[in-house]
Amino acid sequence: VRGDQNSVSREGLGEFEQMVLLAIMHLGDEVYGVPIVDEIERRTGRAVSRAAVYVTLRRLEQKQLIESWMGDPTEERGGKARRCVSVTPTGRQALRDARAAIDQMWRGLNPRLKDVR
Amino acid sequence: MTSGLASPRTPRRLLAWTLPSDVREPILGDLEEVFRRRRRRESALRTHIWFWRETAWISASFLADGVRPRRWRSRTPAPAQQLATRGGGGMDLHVDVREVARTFVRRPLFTAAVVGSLAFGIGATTAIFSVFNALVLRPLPVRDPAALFQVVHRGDAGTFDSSTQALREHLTTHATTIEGALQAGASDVTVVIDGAAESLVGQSVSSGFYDVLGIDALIGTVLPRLAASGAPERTAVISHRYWQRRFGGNPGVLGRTITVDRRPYTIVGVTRPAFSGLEVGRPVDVTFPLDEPEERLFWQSKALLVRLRPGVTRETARLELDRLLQQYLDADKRMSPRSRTQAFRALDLQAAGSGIAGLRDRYLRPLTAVLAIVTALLLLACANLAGLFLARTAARQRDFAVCLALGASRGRLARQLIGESLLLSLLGGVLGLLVAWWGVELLLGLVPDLGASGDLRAGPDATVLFFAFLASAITGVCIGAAPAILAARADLRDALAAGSRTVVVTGGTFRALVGVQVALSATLVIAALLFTTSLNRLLAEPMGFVAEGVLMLTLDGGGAELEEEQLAALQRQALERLRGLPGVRRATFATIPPLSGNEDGKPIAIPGVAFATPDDGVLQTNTVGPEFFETFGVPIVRGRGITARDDRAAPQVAVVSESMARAYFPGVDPIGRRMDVGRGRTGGQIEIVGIAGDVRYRDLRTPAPRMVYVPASQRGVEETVVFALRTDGNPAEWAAAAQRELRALAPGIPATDVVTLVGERNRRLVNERLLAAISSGFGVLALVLAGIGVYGVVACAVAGRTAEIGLRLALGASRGALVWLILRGTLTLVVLAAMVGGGVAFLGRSLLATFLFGIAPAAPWAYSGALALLVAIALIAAIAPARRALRIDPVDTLRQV
Repeated sequence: VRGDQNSVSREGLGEFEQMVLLAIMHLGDEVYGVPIVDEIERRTGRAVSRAAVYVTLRRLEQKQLIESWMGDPTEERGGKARRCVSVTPTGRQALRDARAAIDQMWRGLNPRLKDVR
Repeated sequence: MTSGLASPRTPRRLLAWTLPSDVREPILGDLEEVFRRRRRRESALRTHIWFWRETAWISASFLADGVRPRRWRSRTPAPAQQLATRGGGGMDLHVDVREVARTFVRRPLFTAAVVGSLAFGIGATTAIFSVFNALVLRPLPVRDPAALFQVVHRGDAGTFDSSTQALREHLTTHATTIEGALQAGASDVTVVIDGAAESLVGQSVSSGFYDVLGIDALIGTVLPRLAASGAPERTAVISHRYWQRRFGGNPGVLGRTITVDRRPYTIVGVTRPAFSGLEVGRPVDVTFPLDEPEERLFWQSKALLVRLRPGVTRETARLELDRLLQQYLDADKRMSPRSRTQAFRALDLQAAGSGIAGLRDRYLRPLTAVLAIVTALLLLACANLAGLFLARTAARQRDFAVCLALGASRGRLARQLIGESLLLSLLGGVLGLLVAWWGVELLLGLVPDLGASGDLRAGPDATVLFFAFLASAITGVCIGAAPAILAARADLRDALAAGSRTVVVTGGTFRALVGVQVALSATLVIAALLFTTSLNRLLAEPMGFVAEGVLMLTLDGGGAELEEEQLAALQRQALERLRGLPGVRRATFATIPPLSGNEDGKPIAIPGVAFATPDDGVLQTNTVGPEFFETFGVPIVRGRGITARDDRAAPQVAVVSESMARAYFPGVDPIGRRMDVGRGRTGGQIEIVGIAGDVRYRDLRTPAPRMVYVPASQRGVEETVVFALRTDGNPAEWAAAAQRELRALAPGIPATDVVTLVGERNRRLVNERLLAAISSGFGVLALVLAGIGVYGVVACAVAGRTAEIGLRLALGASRGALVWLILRGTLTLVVLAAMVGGGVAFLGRSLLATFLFGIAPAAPWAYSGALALLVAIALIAAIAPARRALRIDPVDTLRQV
């Protein structure tokens, strides 16, 4: 078995992982699958694969970037509980790192890209 | 499918099965929530499709995610129920599935081969079943279809389904066991709208037709009930299909007047799309009331259906209705005692909940035979794949032994193996549905009668889906059972012992599986040989005409109110116009074209000849236009054919067929003799001027009738005639032009039934073609599969006996003796299995006989041919392993021993 634990921090965050994490941050309380998908679709204007969100959420939890707990079951959900999530301090740090890395890469490019437009 | 707001159960179960336990509940809950949200603004269908798509994606994503090994560590407290399942420690199915998916992703070729052949096998079976289902099983879209029964009469002469209006009224009034009765009969009708004529399927129905069925109109109303005595209104109800096609779904159609067989009717309603009449495969376009008060007492070929009251058994109702029928017949003065015993000894009730006879009667048996053939093929594929799995399991025996040694339970191992084959077969089943969809198209293409009506193509319903699922599940278990048993029985010490890598354990089972394959393919090959021979014999039967290049179309002048002279002129002009078409070499018309199945018996008289029996005094006659024999390619044996000069002014002439000449003028030259055709005609007014070859008129199996041909211009005008064109090239290409000509000439008269003579011939051979095509195609496939199986057996035998062979080689055994050593067992197996397969075919010979022509179902050469083919295939399959055996180096093997 490979040692996944350490590689997590080195791997950095994928674009979609960032989107999911940011959506969770935006939403605040009572965050679970349905609003996350809605939030990403609303902000990006693109259709989001629900399956990808679930797999990503699970992976983020494996990497300990989010944590989750079971909420109360409701009738509207056919008596099923929701799994609420929030971003852990490690998660926030990972987002900050990702942002910083991207910013570093962007620095100095803005004027050139303006021409392209 | 679930109505209401809750999500469909099947995908939910699928998800519950594929999702890891920790995310199962939240994801199911999320989907439920979104499902309900969408359901409020979207149609049920769209929402269901969405749900299924999400299910597929999410299941696939988690299965694929599971294949990439990742350690799952969470510090969050696991929910209580999850702990419970873990504590239970039993079936954590998704772990198995992930395990299984992983093994398949690693072996894509193996997986593709297995899934592909399963998809084909399950798809073919499902395709046939789906047509079978539509034709036989699917209930009519009416209220409580199980309570509907058709009244049929049994007598000495057979079974009859005719009825009278008065009988229906008698039963409705007096029977206590039925809620109501209806009478309906479908027929081809000519419908004229705004001067344009069209041939449609019409249906005349008794009052209460829609009430008894319990269906209502989509728009407008269904036929109003008839007043008990009053004259019926001339109202018509049209089908949804016809409404869409002819009126573009315009609701303004209500109140319009259409002419059906020369009578005006007002359209009052459109039926729902699901309902297309009582006869499966013959959708009705126009329904109008049965309104011939003067025919109340006539026996007509109209179906009489009754709806039983709730709780009444079929037998109770039958007894009462039989009593009422006999009562009715006692009062019927028109019926002779003889016809009563011929047709009305007893009344019977036949379940009519899935429609009444028609296409079903014609195709039920061939379809059953085809279903049997494809099921045999599916079984064969199962046996083949079971062998493949077995070989793979044997190769993994050491792995399993290691797992067992490390503490895995035997049950867990067996479950894993069954899970593997189940997953593959279910995957194959899903792909099989696609194959089935395509297969249905192919089947309906082979059987144009079935394909012509839209309602057999309707998508798979729950029954078909369930069938496909069941077929996949059974297949999966069949394939996985043998390896699972093997794995569960594996002996630890044996498997782990050093150097033991043999697959000997599987020998017996493997040989048995191959035996099953060989036996099944023997049965299939025998059937294929019989069916193809039968078809060829039928095709070789002399028909008496040249079918190639002939186009036919029917001009039905019955709907137009024309004087006889006008009609005759119209037919003449039509012939002129058709002759003028470029590419048309000859044209003619006739009342009865070859193979039409129509008959026109007329009394004849021959001066100086007394007939032995009254039957001899009636002959089939065909009223034909000029160049009839030349156009159809019927040879004139002696004398001349009928020409344009044989008109009203010329002396009356006739041409007789060879068999007629033989029967009525034995040893005499009939040319120049005189005869009369038609009731009451005497005096020998017609001169026989020619003898034509015999032509088959009914079908290819029935011998040609004795026939008299008379020129149309010397007889009374027939309302309906069939024009025939002999064209250059493919006659179907002239269909549109010919129809255009006729329409331009007489827009109010429909030119219908545009067919080629080759097409007609093939239509009469459709069952034979279907069986020959499917059995030979699948027979070849069966041979290939059996060959692969035999190859496996021989290869195993060689691998298992490497040491022995080496030793024998070292001791100086001859090559021939070695080859025989390898082949002996295999050939015995093949011959024995083929004999078993032959036995199965022999047992089914009475079923086979009903489809065969000119060949006995137990024809020895078919059996020996199949045996020879299988032995040849077995020898070919054995070549490679036998060569490998001969290349074994004795020194190598001796060193290992």
